[in-house]
Amino acid sequence: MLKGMTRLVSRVHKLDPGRFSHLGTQAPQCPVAHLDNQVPTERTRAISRTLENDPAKHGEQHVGQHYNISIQELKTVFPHGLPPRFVMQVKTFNEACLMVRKPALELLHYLKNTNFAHPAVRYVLYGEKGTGKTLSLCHIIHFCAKQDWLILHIPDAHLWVKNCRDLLQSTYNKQRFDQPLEASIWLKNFKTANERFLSQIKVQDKYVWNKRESTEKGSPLAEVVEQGIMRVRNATDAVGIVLKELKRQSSLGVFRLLVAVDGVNALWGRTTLKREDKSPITPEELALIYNLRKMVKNDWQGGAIVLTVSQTGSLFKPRKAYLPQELLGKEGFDTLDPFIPILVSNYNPKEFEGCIQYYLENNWLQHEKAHTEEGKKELLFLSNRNPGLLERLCAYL
Amino acid sequence: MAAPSVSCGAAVPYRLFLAGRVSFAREQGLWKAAASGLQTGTRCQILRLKHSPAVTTTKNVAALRRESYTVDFIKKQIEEFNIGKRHLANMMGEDPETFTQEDVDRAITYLFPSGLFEKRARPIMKHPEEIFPKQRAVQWGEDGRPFHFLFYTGKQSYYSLMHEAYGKVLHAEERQDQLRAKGLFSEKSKSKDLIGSRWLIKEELEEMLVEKLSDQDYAQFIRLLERLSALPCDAAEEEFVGRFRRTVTVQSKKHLIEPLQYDEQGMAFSTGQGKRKTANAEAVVYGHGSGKIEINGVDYLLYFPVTQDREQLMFPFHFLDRLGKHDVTCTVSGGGRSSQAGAIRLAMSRALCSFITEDEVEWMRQAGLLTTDPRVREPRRERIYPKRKGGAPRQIFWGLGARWEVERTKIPPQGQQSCRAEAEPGCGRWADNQDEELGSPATHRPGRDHRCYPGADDSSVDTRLQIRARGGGLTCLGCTGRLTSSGNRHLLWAARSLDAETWHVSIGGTVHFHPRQGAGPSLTVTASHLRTQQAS
Repeated sequence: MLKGMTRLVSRVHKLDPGRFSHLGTQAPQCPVAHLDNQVPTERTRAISRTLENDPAKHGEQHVGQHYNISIQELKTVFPHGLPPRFVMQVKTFNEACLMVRKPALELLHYLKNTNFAHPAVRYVLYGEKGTGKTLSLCHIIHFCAKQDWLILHIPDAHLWVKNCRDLLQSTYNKQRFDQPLEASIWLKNFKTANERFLSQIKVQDKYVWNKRESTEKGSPLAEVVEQGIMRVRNATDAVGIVLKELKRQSSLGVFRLLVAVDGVNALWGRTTLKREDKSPITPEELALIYNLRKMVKNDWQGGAIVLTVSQTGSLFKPRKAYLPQELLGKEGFDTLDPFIPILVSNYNPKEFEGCIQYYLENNWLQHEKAHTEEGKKELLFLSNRNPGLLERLCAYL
Repeated sequence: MAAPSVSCGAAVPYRLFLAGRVSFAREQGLWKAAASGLQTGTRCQILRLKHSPAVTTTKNVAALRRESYTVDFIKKQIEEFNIGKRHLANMMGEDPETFTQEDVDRAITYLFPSGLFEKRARPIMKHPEEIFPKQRAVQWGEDGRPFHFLFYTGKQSYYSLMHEAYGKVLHAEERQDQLRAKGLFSEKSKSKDLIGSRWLIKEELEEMLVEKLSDQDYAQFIRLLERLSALPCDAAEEEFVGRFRRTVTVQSKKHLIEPLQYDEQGMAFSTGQGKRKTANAEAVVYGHGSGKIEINGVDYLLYFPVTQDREQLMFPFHFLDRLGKHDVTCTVSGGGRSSQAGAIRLAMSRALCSFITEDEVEWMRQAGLLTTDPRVREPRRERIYPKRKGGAPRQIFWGLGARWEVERTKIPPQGQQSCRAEAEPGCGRWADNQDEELGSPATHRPGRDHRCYPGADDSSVDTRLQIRARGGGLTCLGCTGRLTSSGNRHLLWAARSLDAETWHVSIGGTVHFHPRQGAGPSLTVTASHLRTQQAS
């Protein structure tokens, strides 16, 4: 459409001959940069990729560059929690590359310098829609996983407050409601992420599930998780137990705990779930949410709490709201206060360049104008350097 | 003027109605005063204006019009128009001597405000030359002999024009040869005359000659004229060629380009306004910036989540290759998402005019960036045809190239009483089927509502179906031609709705529907219902 408009000045002579050869070698699905035409591609690789794959060693010089996560690691560290579009991109490109960005670096710096004797510090990532909060969270999680922390990752708290088909009355507390399906799914993913810890941590209480089954004191946490997965009715209680035990035991210093919740504003908002008599359910009446709220309080030591507030998926919140105060509401804000807010904003020019280069390297941008400066300017204007929008726009090219 | 006044008699109430809308008392007073002195011709003039069509380009040629206007008639119309113009000037309080056609138009829009959407349907008062199409005078004399020597070519004006032009071409070539022989031949470029003007288009030529032309004729004529203009001509020939050229404004720079303004920090900026449908926007474009656009205090990414709107905003900058060089702050109100985007685009383009060269302004104008989009929402029209009163819906479908309408009507059998029982006179009620058996009288109680459902179990009542078909052709199954599959499907559908098992079409366009065993009567849709043509 607009790109087909007759332009005022002829652009032909401005096109770089190097770019043409880039166009010429369109090898299908070759993630590694082209080996012929070494010099320009080396230059582009330097901008958009880094060979430093350990998040602990990422620094200022890596801002705007992508680092690789191997597929095995991806399966263990992120059984859930990656945004769906990113998962599709990983599948398409056959590699998982995350961009190193300033907010994540800032948070990494804080995490590296945490004092585990002090109560857990809360960090809240906030920003407008599509700026990269979830992926920054995933960056942090990857770092912590590499550092051998125990990751407690709730991929999207909004999923727990809406569209739940089966709500059971909780066995533990008659006032609350169970969500067996969500709890069991989460337990499965939790098990995949933290296999090695589950056998080491021992439960410190006896838990009776029903007349025939119970978990003795001192048995490994894996049993509780198994119980939750196999008996779906008890899954929510299993989750509650897991959370309680982890909180208790991280203070002892056995392991370091990272609590990562995406969309934490769901814990204090409204739900779309209703009882049989059509009266709405508040979040406190959901057992999962209740236990999670306890987790997010900073009355334990030995770890950190990293949270994201997002409007996407939130219920009854205006589209333009992105500040923590607006999204959390008064109650949530007071509960989370004090926290360290970290703003995640749109790409800066260097990051934008890096992103475009990454797509070009993976042959994702097939439009002939995509290589040119004008094409980049168009993309810049249309997406206003918003990562999410840029990704969606590039999907069409 | 007896005859015109008679025709105007019916129009008087109409006149008064219109006069009632005039708000000015002064106008009314003058109107009433003028009415008495007003010649009936004026009334008729304006009355006729209501009914005569506005000037259009295509069907102006005399051959297409049935009525013919005599020369006297046209002259009379012109007199009446002039007198009417003077009266109108008096009415409006203007000087009749200097009352131009624009003033006339203005007066008419004031006196007869019309909300009609189609501009050509509004009241007009124009010179009869523009309203009545040009007619050809009678072309043969009393003895039947045509006046013009080229009458029998059929297009006498065209051929005489070609003849004249060719004569001039020969003359010019002869002169050129003479000049060459004398050695005074000089290459004079004639291109100066041709720039800034264009040849007549075919419709204009047709209008000029009052004759219908074909495309080849037109092309031939233009070629001849171009040949003539290529030769060195004298004044008479140039004037001849000039008759067939119209000026074209090459660069219409109607709007002014505001100069740049400077704010306190010395940054150059410029404002522009734009409108689209009901949205109004005002944009301030700053000379140096990074491509940020702020709308009503909100970033344009948040204000326009849809990519299409952002592409609209990108258009002016992308066109001028200034993406990311200007900062914009704008305010917009009214309209919807898309019209706000269009309004802002127009405002930004107008503001950008101050920063760019004149050529670029012209490019933008040609690209359509500087034109207000004239499209507005069409007002709702009233229903002309009343709704069908209740009953079974009329089904319309297309088949066999004809438009079929099938309507079920319950028509009692002709000549029989509606109830088989004795009915009271005046009572049009039908007996209830379930109450009676065939042939036995039923007790008919007045006041009780009976309803009769002609259907499968009551073969005496006719299930008359009105089937109307318009257009198309029907062929017999046994004859040449086949029913199209859509035709078949539609007839099958009609048959099903009529509870008929088979149908066949016979010559003459009769469709017979045959019922199932024991079902209702067979129906025949006869030629009186259909307007058929032999299928070609």
